Amino acid sequence: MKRLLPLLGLLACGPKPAPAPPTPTLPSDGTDHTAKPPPAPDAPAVVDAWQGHELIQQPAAKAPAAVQLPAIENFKLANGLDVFVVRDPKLPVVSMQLAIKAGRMDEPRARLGVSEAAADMLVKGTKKHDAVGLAKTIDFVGGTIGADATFEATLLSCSVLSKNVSTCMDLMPEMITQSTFPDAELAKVKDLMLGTVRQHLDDAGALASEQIQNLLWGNDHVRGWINSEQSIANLHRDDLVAWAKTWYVPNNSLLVVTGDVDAKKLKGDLERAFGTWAKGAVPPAPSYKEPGLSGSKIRLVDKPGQTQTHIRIAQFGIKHDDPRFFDTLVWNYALGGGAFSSRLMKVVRVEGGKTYGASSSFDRNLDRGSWVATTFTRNSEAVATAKLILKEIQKMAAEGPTQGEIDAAVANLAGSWGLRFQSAGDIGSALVGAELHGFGKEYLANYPLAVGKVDQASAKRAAQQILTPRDYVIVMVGDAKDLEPQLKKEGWRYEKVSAVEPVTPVEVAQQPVDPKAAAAAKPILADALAAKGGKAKLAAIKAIHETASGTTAIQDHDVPVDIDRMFVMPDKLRIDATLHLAKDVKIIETLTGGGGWMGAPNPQTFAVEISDLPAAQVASAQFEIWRDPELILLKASDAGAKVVAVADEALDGKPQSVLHMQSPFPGMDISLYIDKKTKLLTRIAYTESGQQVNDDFADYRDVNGIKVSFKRTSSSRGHATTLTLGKVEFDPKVDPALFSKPKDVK
Amino acid sequence: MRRIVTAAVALAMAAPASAGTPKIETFQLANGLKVAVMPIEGAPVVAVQVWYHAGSKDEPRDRRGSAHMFEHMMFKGTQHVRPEAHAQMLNGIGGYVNAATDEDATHYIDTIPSDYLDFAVQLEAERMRNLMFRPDMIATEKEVVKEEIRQQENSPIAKGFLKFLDIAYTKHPYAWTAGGNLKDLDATTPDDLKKFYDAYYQPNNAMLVVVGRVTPEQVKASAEKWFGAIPKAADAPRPAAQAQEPAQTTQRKQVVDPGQIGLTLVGWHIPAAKDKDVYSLQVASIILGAGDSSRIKIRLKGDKTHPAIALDGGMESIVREDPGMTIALGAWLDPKQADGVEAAIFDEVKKLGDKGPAPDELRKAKNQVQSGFVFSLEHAQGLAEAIGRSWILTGDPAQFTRDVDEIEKVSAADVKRVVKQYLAAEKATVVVIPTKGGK
Repeated sequence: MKRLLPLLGLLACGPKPAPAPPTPTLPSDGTDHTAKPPPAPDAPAVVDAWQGHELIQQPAAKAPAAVQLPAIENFKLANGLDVFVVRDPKLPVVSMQLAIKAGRMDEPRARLGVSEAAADMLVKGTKKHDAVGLAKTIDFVGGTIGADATFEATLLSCSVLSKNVSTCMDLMPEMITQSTFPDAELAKVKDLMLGTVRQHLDDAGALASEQIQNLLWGNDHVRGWINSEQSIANLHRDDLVAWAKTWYVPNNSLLVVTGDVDAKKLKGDLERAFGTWAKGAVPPAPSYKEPGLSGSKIRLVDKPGQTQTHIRIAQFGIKHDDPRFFDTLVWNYALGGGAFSSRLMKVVRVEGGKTYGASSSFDRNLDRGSWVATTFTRNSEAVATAKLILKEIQKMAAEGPTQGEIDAAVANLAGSWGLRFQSAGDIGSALVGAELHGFGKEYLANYPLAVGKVDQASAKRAAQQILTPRDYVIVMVGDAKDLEPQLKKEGWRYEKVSAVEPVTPVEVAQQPVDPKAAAAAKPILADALAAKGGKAKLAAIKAIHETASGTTAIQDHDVPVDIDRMFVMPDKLRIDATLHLAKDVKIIETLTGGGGWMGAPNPQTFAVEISDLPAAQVASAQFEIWRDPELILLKASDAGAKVVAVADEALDGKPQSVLHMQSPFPGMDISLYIDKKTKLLTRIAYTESGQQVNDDFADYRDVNGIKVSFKRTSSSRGHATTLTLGKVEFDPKVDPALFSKPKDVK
Repeated sequence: MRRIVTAAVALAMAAPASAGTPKIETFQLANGLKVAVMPIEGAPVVAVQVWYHAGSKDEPRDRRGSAHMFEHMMFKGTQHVRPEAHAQMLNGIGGYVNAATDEDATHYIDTIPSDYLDFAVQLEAERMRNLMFRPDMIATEKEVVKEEIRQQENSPIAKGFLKFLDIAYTKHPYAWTAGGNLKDLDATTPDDLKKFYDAYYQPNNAMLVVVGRVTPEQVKASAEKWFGAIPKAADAPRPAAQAQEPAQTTQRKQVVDPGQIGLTLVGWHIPAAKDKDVYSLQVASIILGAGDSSRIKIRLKGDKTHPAIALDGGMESIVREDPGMTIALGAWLDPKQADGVEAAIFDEVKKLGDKGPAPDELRKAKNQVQSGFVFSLEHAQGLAEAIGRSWILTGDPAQFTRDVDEIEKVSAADVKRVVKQYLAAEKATVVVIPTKGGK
């Protein structure tokens, strides 16, 4: 979402935000089907058009030298908060950057996204200010506040003109110690996160970067976990509060203050400002077993209609404190980190004309992270482009960089390092990174010297150890109809997934129930149950037979449909649906406990054929009968049900009480919307197959003293099934043969 | 989002005298090359940029994208520099190199350690007139540019925005952006490119901007040494002068191809950069749509009196050399909210036009501009961009340093007047990118 507005200034080329660090894995089958770079002949010799021209020569680069940094003061507050001060009075500005050592890497899988949501919520309400109040306070002085979570840390910042420094001194501690995490704002934050997940479905590059991490690290490592609609739906206020309580403590944080500050006064001011922030025990960060990587794995992510394929090739990277770190900086610069000075750019863009950009990068983290090569190209060139990159990886792994490449890389990496420190704020940001990794300011000053120590032998050795040409993963996000023939022609084995499927399967832990919210749900449920017809009448139902007519969306067309549905408690369901296409098509789905069968037409003959109900459909049907609208209120009123009241919402302008109910189906909790006026159930919302679904209920009529909705709409991602009920019978006569799997169907 | 808007606003405008703005010195060579220098004592860097007054609005209608294509060719070798060597050599001394093409200008960026000023100026002078036009390289580079274009082609938001411009501008070349399109690119010949080069890549159509640890004397010596011998050329053609956009009197609206995120764009034509009304319009844009406490953002994201109907929103005035646009947007997930988002944007704009801003809102907007300007002084490359942009937009490279003073003069009555005059519903262009699905 943060990228929407810059669109307004669509310009060609130009400085772009740094690409997100890419990530990476696939099951190996030995080397028979491993993607192997072909023994392509070297390019034919071409006539040098510049032969005989007097060429401009590059002046000699300066020898790497330490960067002269201003004095950096460091002290600890009484509560353990480590403070660094970079004073620079040249401009009347002050920035404060608070880093808390907790980020994505500390999240449990069942609470994916909690670090991001908790960080976002820091600016969404405190005991003193609501979200708008906070925004007005900082906007009025023309300052900025921001909060974000990275893989390793949560960062909170505030920047103002120095005359307004008291605004940051007030707001920063207020946000960190008095955040209220209001439900209504959390709903907006979750919507924004949902928007980002959705937007990635339109952004093949972002999707490829997520898929490659999952492929390399798998589903059992935090680096392989990617946010999904379902994981975001699973986040609750209590999770955020618990996260903040656990991690947001001063002895797990550091503060960097930069700019035109009064150094003498600062310590006292900070003690007063952050004095109420209490120390706490910091749990150890979770650790994960690194997955192995043997052979190649290729994942094709099918995005129909995409005309350009985004390609990522990944391996494991190295830790920031690895002695080979600077060697790796150098060989990676030569391979893909050095823009037009790199081999990938030369081979894929300049000579091949296959892409606008080709690069490689690696994570700079406490753990090993990933090394990823990144590019995109027209679909028809996808495999050829991947082969070009693989060839360069293989070559670098075998030979390392040339002396000329080493010289160029060292000159750039060492020479450009000092250019980044143009303001005290720049030094502060770099210092945060260095201190989080335990390096200190000497790291910043001596970085060019460390780069300068790299020589051809050390760079080659590091490249050989880190690049493993036979073990890698590849992701291609593009149109499978264009890509599969290329992959098959090469004999490359691949797994195919859909771009719209969640990258990581969601794992859900049982949500602890807030007693207050549970108590608040009880009267709402009692009213709803009474409005429905009363507990006794509902509990007596043994079977429900309904017929309905309406439309259902198939491939963007609304198709007329008739439904006959028989539900026999507790676990038998039969649905007969007739779709009125060019020819009527009959589909039967029957659930009998843990299994079932279905009847569907043969696509050629249109004759109905009987088969077992696939497992996924069994699960889906079980979920359907569990949330049956005639009975769900009864289930919600059970003593063991976990139901809580959450923030009210409005549907079509009508205020609704909203209840959140845990379901026995992992990741498929539901929200019940109860009309505040009529007390009738108006919506059941849930996530299924990664998609948000709303079942809406209207036109309530009385059937044997029970209020039944005669107009029902189930919608998901713009596709809707709308049904008007014809007949509703409670406890009809049921023919047991209805559920028996027939040999044939008439 | 808030940071982005603030930053954009800060770049577009600028400067309180109290901030101690470094002085800009300007001079002109005999061949017409303009030079602007902003020395910054102690800076570890020098930003060298050459701004050519040549953007997509200068392209022939059947060669859209040629300014951008040409920008690529500037890296493909000159008489005395091999292809890509410009970037490679500057990288090799620790520098950063890039270029960008927009509607009004193309600029080339060399951010380097300050000791290498003369070398960067030499390289820029070399490619001003000594470019090689090799058909094989043009052919390969066309494929590269096509991949850049395909990035937009696969983005519903980018496509929707391009459609928005196409609808808003019926005559003026701001109807397209610098990105270009595949068809025109295929049709572009080496001769077309050479023609464009000869018309626009001339000293009297360019400005050398240098910001950082340098003295004006150093820059003057380098500029004379390397650019001085290049002859002056004829004035560059300005096809857009014959394509003035007629006043829009009725609302235009179109629903375009869907994306994963719903987006409503509402835009109004505003005057060109030299018109003083743009200051009041920029203040109006900030009050309406910059910062989380702006009116449209609060209205769309909800507060105590309004439910949330969108993920986010905002407003920005895109000030250009010729009449630009003020554009509001709202991003949403729930298709049922599409009409509400559009109505809310119009409603907030109307309210500001009817009643004007509150005193604290006006002060807040001015503070945002002032603060943004002071922070923009921290980085040489951004300052060089501001100087170059200021020259393109107003003819005066130092104008941006006076913009904060101009903004300070804007009154509540000015804001009310310009909103009523320029941002009326009947003068709006609306483009809706619907969602592919529901919430």
